[in-house]
Amino acid sequence: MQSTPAAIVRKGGISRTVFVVSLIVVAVAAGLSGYFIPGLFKSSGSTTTLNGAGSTFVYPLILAINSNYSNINSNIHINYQAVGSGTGINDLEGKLVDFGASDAPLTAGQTSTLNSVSTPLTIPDTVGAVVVAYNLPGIKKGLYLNANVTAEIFQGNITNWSDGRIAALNSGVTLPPNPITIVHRSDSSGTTFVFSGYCASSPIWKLGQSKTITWPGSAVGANGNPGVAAVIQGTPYTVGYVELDYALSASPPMTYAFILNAAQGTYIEPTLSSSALAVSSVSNLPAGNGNWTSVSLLNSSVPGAYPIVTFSYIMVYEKLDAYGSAMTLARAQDLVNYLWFVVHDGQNQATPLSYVALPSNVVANAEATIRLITYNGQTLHS
Amino acid sequence: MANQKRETLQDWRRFKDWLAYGLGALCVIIAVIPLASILIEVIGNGIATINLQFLTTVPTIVIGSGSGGGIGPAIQGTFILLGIAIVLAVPLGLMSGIYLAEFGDNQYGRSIRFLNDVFTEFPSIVIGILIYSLIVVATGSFSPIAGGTALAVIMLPIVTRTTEESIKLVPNSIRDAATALGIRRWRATISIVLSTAKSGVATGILLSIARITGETAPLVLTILGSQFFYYAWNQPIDALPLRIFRDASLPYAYARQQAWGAALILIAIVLGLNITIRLATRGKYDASRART
Repeated sequence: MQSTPAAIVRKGGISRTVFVVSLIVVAVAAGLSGYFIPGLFKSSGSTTTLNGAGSTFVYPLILAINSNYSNINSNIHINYQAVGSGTGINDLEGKLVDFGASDAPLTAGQTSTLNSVSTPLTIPDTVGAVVVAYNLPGIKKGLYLNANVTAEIFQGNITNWSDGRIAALNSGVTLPPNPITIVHRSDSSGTTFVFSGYCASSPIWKLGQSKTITWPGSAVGANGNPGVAAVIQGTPYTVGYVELDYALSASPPMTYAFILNAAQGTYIEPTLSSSALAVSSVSNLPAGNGNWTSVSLLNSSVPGAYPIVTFSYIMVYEKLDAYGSAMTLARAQDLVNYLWFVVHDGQNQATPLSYVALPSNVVANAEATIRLITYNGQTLHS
Repeated sequence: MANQKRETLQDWRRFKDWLAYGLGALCVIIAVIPLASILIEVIGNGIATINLQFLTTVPTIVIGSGSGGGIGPAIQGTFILLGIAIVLAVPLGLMSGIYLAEFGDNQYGRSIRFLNDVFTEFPSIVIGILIYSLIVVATGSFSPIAGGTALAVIMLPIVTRTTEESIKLVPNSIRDAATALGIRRWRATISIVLSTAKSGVATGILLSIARITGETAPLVLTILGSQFFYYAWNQPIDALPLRIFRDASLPYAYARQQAWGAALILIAIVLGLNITIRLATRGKYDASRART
């Protein structure tokens, strides 16, 4: 110990320099490499990026539309992040994103908060089905369920797969004597809104219709449609609700229930065509700046229609100048052009991904809404 | 008789020695199992995806496209965020650490030390909310500045604490020797005390960098995430932990594959930074080496 001081004092200055310099070099190199990498890989100088956030339900479709749009307009990037419908609308309220996406219509509270910025517009972008997916080893897709039994399962009244109420609908299927694990969305979710809306069509359901539900204590929460799908796939004897495409394109494919169309008395497999039937009869949609809370595609009485179907919406502000200096006329124009693309050419992406392309009367409604968008009083689409 | 008794005693002691040795070795093996299993799992799953294209292109998670694209924006974003966080937190942390160790032996210093310790324990999501309300809402955009600041806030108390601890380890005799040679206090603190403690200080900085590199929660609230490369200081960017978080929860096989690849790159970056700083600060006159 006594020899230590002499040894250190001798060349302390040099090692200090090395230390400080190396720190600075690491910090600067880290920062600069970040700034210079895009110069190496980016093709053109001026690009506009529009930001959107919200629904995980519509995420695969919006990604496909965006990638398609960027191929045509290489200088416009659409950055969409699936943070959940509730968060997407919050981000829109904070003017943090250019558009929000939600599977649930705006509530009165959300509308009034958004109104303090500018009138929110509701643009339907697609139609999709929510499936009741389960993981029962040895049992294929096509377990029969109706609104009452679904409500009792997700409310925690039916706690075991071998319960007589499930068996009554599924004669010939040997159900395992294992406890049911419910998997639900932990985030504020439009998918939850739609699914709880379906459960609420049964008088047994006590938990209401909302983007967030107080589930039974033993239920497992997971984040986003992908999270719920992943938990169900990884855990035997679970049941949950996910968007149709997540169930179909998961590997290995998920198993899901056929749901009773109460008007017809038949069990309907969730498919693209059975979901499309649910939207075929829709009419009298509200105006884009109107109240969409009562719009529902649940329990369609059309023969062969799947009962748990929903619109998904894009929400934007009517007066885009409300963003202040962050929104220029050119940027506003880019946003409107993109929205126009979503409801027209973008719909070509829907079918391959098991979403329903919007019927012509809904597209006409969306067109009228997009025409309402202004920037400093100037209309952006004629 | 006496001889025999001594031998039995020796055997018993030898047995105890071996027992302790065996238990120690067993503990080491048990401790290494999780680390090795993580590394093997990540490398095994991730190595196949790594190629130049994967490292430099944008992600294209589109169902049916068959390929997940690359993680270029995430790597770039992680470096930008690290750069901002290091520039903000390291000088401040070093200085407050020096203050606490050399001049902080009073009421003021004690309260700072206490608050700093409390700060270290703060859940990172809370720091994310703090920066969200302070910067994101105020500036009206998710940005690398907000993300970098959030990471810097997490980093700062760790750098401060470890700097203080390593400087305290420097023997007072060194300070006395410096004073005896007529070196000013500030000069002695920087050139002699800090230089002696640099190995410990560097370890602290490394630990804090490793800690923030993997942080996901504060980033969700501050940078949003992006499919594209950095293009403006006030726009969302991507980061590796966020990309892993989003990819890993997708049910598509190639999204998971991308997440494994991103996880491997993240580990490689932390390891690379670690080794670089270790080599750069491996002086001949570390306090730890001088003792031997």
